[in-house]
Amino acid sequence: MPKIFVPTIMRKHTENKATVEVPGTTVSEVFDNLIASYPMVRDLLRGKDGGLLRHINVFVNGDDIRGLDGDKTGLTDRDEVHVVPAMAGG
Amino acid sequence: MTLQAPDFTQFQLDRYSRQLRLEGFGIEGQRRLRDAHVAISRGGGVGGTVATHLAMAGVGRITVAHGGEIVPEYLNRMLLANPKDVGRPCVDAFADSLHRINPDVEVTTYSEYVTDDNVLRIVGDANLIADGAPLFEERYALNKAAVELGIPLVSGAMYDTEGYITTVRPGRTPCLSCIYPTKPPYWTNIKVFPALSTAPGLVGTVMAMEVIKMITGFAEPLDSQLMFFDLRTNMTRLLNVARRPECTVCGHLDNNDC
Repeated sequence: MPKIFVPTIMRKHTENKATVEVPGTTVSEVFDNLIASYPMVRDLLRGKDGGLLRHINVFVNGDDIRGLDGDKTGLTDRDEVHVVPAMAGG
Repeated sequence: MTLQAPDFTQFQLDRYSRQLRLEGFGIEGQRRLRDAHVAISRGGGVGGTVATHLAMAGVGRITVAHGGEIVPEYLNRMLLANPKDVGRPCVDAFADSLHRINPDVEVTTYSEYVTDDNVLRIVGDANLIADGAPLFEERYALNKAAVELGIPLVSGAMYDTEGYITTVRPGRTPCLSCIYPTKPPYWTNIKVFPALSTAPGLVGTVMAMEVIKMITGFAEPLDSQLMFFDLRTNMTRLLNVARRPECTVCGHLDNNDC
C-alpha cells in the first residue's frame, strides 16, 4: 500500500503515527481512506469544497503533485506520499 | 605551503585556512564572502544560526533585523543570546555576539521587524536575503523584495522537529509564493510553533551553506528543491518544486532573470 508521511501537526489525529499505509490507487483515494481511519485529519488537509488546502503541498516520490495530475495522480503500492504544510517557525 | 594573499592578514588566512582547502572554494571564495552583504530577517533560532555561521565563514557585512527585547523563552534556541541579555534589545545582543565571533564582520542592525513598508530600506543594499522570520507576513514581504530587487532569497522554516529549506533565484526557481501561495489559518502569531534548538539550528545551518554557495559559486544550491526533514523520525528528503506561471509575485519574470 502507498505510504503517507504525516506531518507533525497532524499526528495528534493519527495516534502519533509518522507514517500510515493506506490503500488507494490515486492521491485522492488514499486521502479518502486516511480520513476514514482518522476523521480529524480532514480539516487539516481539505477545504470545505473537498479540495486540498492551498497551504498544503503533496509530493509523490519527491515530485509535487501540481506538476503531475493533482490529487488524481496515480499511485502504486511502493509509492511515498509526503504531506508538507507551510511552516514559518524561526 | 603557506598561502599568500596581500588583501588578507596572516591571522585571517590562518583563521580561514580549513575552508580555503575546500575544493572549489579557495581564496577567491573567501574574497567573495568578504565582499558580500547578507541581510537576515530575525536573529532567532534560524536567523541567528545563519548569522553565526556566516560570521564564522567571514561574510563581510551582515544586516540583522529583529524587533523587541530578549526574553527568557528565547534562550532555548537562540545562539546569539544568553541569560545576561534578558531585557536588552535583541539586535544589541546579537551584534555583540557576532562581534565576539568575528570582529572583522561589519554588522548593521535594525531594531524592528520586516514589514511591507520597511523591507526595501532594510534589504535594499544587500546581495542576498536570508529569511528566518516566524511570521508569514514577514516572509512574503522578503520574498516580494527579493523578486523586485532580483537578488537570491534563502528561505528556511521549521515547526516542531520538522524543517525545510530552499533557495529562491527570482525568474529561475520558484519563489516562496509559488511554493506556498497562502499561509495556514492557524499561524497567527510567533507562539504557534514548538521548538528545541535542534530543528531551527539545522535549518539555519543548511541556510548558511546555501548562502555561502550562492555567494561563492561553490557546490550545488537547492535550485527548485525543498530540503525537508523530520528529526523525530530521522527522515530527510529532497522534494522537487516548480514555478507557477500564475504566481502573483514572480509569474511576470522570464526564466533566468536572476
